[in-house]
Amino acid sequence: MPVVNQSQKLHGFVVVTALATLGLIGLGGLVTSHQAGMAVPDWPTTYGYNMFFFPFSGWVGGIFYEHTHRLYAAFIGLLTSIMAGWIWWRHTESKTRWAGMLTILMLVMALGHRGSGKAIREADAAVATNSVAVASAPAAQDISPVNVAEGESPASGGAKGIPFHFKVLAFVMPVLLVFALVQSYRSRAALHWLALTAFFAVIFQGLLGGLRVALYKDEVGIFHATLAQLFLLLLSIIALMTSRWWEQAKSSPLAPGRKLLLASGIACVAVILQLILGASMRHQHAGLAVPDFPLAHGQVWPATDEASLAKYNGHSSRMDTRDFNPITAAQVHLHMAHRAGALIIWVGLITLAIAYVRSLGWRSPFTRAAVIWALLINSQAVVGALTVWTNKAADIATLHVVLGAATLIYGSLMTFCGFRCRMVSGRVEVLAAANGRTQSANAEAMIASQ
Amino acid sequence: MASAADVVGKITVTGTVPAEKDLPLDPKCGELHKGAKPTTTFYVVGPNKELADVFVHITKGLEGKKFDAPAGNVVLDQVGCIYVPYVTGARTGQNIEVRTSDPVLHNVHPTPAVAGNKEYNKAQMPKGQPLMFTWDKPEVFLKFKCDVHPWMFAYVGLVDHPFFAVTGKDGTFTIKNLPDGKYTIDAYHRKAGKPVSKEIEVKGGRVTVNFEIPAA
Repeated sequence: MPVVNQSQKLHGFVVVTALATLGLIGLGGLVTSHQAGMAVPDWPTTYGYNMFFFPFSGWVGGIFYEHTHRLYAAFIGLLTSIMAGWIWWRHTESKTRWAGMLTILMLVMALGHRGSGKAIREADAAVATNSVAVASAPAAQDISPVNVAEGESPASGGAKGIPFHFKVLAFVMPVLLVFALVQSYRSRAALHWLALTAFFAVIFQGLLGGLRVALYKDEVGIFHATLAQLFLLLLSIIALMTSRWWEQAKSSPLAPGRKLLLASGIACVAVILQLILGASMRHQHAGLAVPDFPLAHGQVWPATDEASLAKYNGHSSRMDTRDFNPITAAQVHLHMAHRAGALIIWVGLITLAIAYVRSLGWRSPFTRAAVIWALLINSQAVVGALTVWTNKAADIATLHVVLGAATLIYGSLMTFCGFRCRMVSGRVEVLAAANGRTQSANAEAMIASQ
Repeated sequence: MASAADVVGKITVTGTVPAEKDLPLDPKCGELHKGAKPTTTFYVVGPNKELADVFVHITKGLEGKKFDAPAGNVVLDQVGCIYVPYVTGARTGQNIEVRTSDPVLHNVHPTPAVAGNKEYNKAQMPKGQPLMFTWDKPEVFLKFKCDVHPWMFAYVGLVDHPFFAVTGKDGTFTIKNLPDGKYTIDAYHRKAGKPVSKEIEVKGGRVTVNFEIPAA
């Protein structure tokens, strides 16, 4: 039976965390695709309940998607905390080790803490009232009214419902996140600092999700969606760096050169920008601002004057049970920018794949990876078109989000692997040069002695 | 002595009215309709093209005038996971009371777009207490929605005077006691694009103004 050592276990755990995070991005996509982001008005509670004890009978309609997203996100937070603690423990020692572990532990406890004594008593009273009602309620009325005054709600959005220490954390986490990022850079991507960055990022991401609900801000939603992609990217890089391949990477003539790597890196940045545009579209509700493809309102680039917008808003595709808001010029431009970005990336990745074939030949695994990346972007383009053709069917639109994330991760890992090979070959050259200098010095010494 | 008039009229729709869509009710909401299949109600049209749910209101001619504080609440109910009425009118500063007759959970999420009108999102338990909302800035239309049930919407025409009406199923409307003067009157249907405007002059008695609204 093969022996699995600690490094392999850790690598496996990070891979599972990254894959689970891809699933979470899919769940987030389902929330926006079903327009369910505000189906649970309160946060961090769910309809006044501690979210972990919200009755299953209440998981209906939009609540199902939003509540599942919140619970699953908490699970990802737990996985990331374990991963960060594990890596920090393995890669640090003495005071640094304990300081880091204490920071992780305190933040986890702070997130688990529900606020002041008064807030807890009030919350407990509400849950107790609900629980009694739930237990005695008829089947059709599983969740029962809380005793609240007329005109009041048992649970509302707004900043008032957020515990004070969560508000403090919302300001502190970006600072800690930047600090950890700087440390990662200064330590030449030391694994423990990357892990701590991921830990801070997951907390900040959770807070952003809550603030988007509580503060009614679509803009926060865009940031939340973008950070999700970057967080997944960071986890994937950590997974790569904890792999046996990373440890044992060798220089190879089949690895890409500087120019190819630079082009791949630029392509990754372009994909990230495209994902930000996509997130903006989702959260600005611009996904159906243009209902046809490949043309746009029957034109190459649609007009956005008042008369044209009135015509678009009268289009039969606007007769939908979702009752969309009227299309605006900004939404049309945003949608078209996403299409233009898609075209640029599609052409770019196909060109890049051709460049890999020409430069490295089919024997190189990097060539094959680049071709698969190009195929991925083709699939993504097809799903993007399907999203328009199906009037943004929830499952297709969500698949588009997940494939977008997969495209970013795949291309980025391919590029990082290329960099790793180059880094290793650089080291080999330095060692060879150093060896050469040593041999030459020995020879000179021998000559001198003769 | 200044006099006033009732402004009455009928609104009809021209062109082809798009077909309504079946509401994608979930099982719990579906049970409340006992086998019936409700649809969207964007265009409620009578046999002679009379158009319901058009918000008619005075948009010019009332500048600088003050009106009595609005009395009573405007009521929106949730019945079978559908807002009733779909379109209504209210005054700024007036209480809009959102009730629920449903044995299911809703969230009441008004989404004003005018600066100064605050957005809310409140839970409403099954057959829970009514919720009250008030806004100070005029806004036509202010949308209410339920994110638990993404087909649930209601629209409130919010104005700062009492001279407004919503057409009934026969397409008619009545705006009572409009003081003498020259006015612009708008008829706004939620799905039929921009409001249609007309100029009217009131000199006591009764003023009739009819509109034709093209289907989008």
